[in-house]
Amino acid sequence: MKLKSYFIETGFALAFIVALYFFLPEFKLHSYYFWIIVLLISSRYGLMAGVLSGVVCALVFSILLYLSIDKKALETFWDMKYLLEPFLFIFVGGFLGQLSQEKINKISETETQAQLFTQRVSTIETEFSTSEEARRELEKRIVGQLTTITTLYESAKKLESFKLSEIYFGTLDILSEHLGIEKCSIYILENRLLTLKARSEFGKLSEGEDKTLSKTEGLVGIAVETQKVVSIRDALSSLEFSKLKGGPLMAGPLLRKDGSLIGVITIEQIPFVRFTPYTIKIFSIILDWLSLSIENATYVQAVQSRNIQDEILGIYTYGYGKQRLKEEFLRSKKYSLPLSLLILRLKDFDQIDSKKLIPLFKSLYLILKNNLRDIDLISQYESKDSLAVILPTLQGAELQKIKLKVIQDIDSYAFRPYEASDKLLESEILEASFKPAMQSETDLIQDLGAAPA
Amino acid sequence: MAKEKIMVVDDEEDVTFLLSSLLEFHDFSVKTHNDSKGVMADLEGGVYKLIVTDYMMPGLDGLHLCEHIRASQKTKAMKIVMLTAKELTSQEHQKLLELDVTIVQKPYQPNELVARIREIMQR
Repeated sequence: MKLKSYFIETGFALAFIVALYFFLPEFKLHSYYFWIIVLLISSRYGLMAGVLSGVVCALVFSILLYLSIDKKALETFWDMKYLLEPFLFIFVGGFLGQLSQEKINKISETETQAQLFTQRVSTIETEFSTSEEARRELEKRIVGQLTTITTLYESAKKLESFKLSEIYFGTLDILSEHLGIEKCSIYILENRLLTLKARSEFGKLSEGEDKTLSKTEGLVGIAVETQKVVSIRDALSSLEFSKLKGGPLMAGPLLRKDGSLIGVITIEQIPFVRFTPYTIKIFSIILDWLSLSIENATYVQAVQSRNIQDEILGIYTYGYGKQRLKEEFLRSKKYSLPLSLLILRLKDFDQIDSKKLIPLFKSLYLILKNNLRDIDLISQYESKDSLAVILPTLQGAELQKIKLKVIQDIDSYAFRPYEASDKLLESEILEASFKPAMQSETDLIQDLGAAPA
Repeated sequence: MAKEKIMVVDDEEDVTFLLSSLLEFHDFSVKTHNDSKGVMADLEGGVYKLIVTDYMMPGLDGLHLCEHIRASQKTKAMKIVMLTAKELTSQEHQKLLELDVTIVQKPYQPNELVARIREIMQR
């Protein structure tokens, strides 16, 4: 490109001079026209261009000079004065070209280096950008996995509960958060009907309304019969669309170890992209998990209801106390025997240090026990802040004596159970005694009146 | 502030529980034993400032336990509170006084017992 440029530029310039020479009579030939060409071309394009322009200018100048001088003087053309300038064109063109060439070479070298640097920087930038993207992705995945594990663990803890409502909500949480299910419900089999126990709508959990499902119809019917997860896609091959319309998109049975039905989970709304075999597989696992949790919780509840004594405190359970109160009331009613009920209630219960709660209750139980007869019964009461004492064949002055002694003993222990406070334990004892007009133990409970402890 | 350690020895679990609960609610650190087995080893290995023991216990009774405590180099300076429901003979009484044992007759008022223990601790 450069060769062409200086060649063309020299050509044009010389052509211009030649044109002026031939077509402009007033034009006088001077060497400095050629000097301009030689100096500009050599300083701009380097050695080769300088020499070339010098040679060409020398030739053209010599020719024009030859044509312009008087024929008589031609003999003198070969004098040094005519030959010196063409020679100088070549020499100066070469010399200046060489000087310029060095500069051009340096610039070219620097440009090459700059290009190399630019390329290297560009490569580093690309590498950095790739690494940065990889790091972000990795961080996102680590955070994502950590969040998933944390939330899954939090949800899973709810499934370890023995409270059925907590288990239901924990399951719905997992379905909504980990499978992206938008609407789902848990139905439990009660009196041959599947009764709604809990539902989730876009992550919002609610207790079941009074809604039931047939265990033999639609998608639920197929899930119960086949004992596996069924989606609307599977069901369309065996049922008409009209029978499935408006129903759930997926249903899975909750089964005991012996295969008997506990209930059903239905999925009413799920994003299309989530409706995959993976979701169905995970849904099956969650169903198994929930089935086991419900079975365990039901078993624990059954065992607890059979227990008559609290395992930690040794106090009779509220259920047993209620049953005994009923029996004692009936006996009193039938044989007109005295019967009293005392309720020891702790004040500011929510402020009691949780670590001191068990020792406190056990101490109170032992204090009560030390003051009561063997036939008296101490049990838990409806509210957690109270203990109930059933005293058969006792009321009136004897009851007051016992009550007073209990109050004095509790006071003498000077319990300080409150968190962040040195306050002494505050309690009260409510009492009620059997009256012939009472119809049931409920009347006795309702007759409980406060008495300052 | 570190809680002062007390050992409670009584053959009745309810009594040891109530007593330990009472003392713990009054900021003592309590270790309980329901018989005299292992008491000496525990006392020699621990840093108990005081022992509250019942008089009548199966096996090694309270009096003999006190003799063992005073006989051991590691425990001879320990403060002892003896709880007893028994009417002590003058000989038993004398013996306990010689062993520098504080006698508390049952039934006792829990808050009075705590006050007594605090007083003994400060001696």
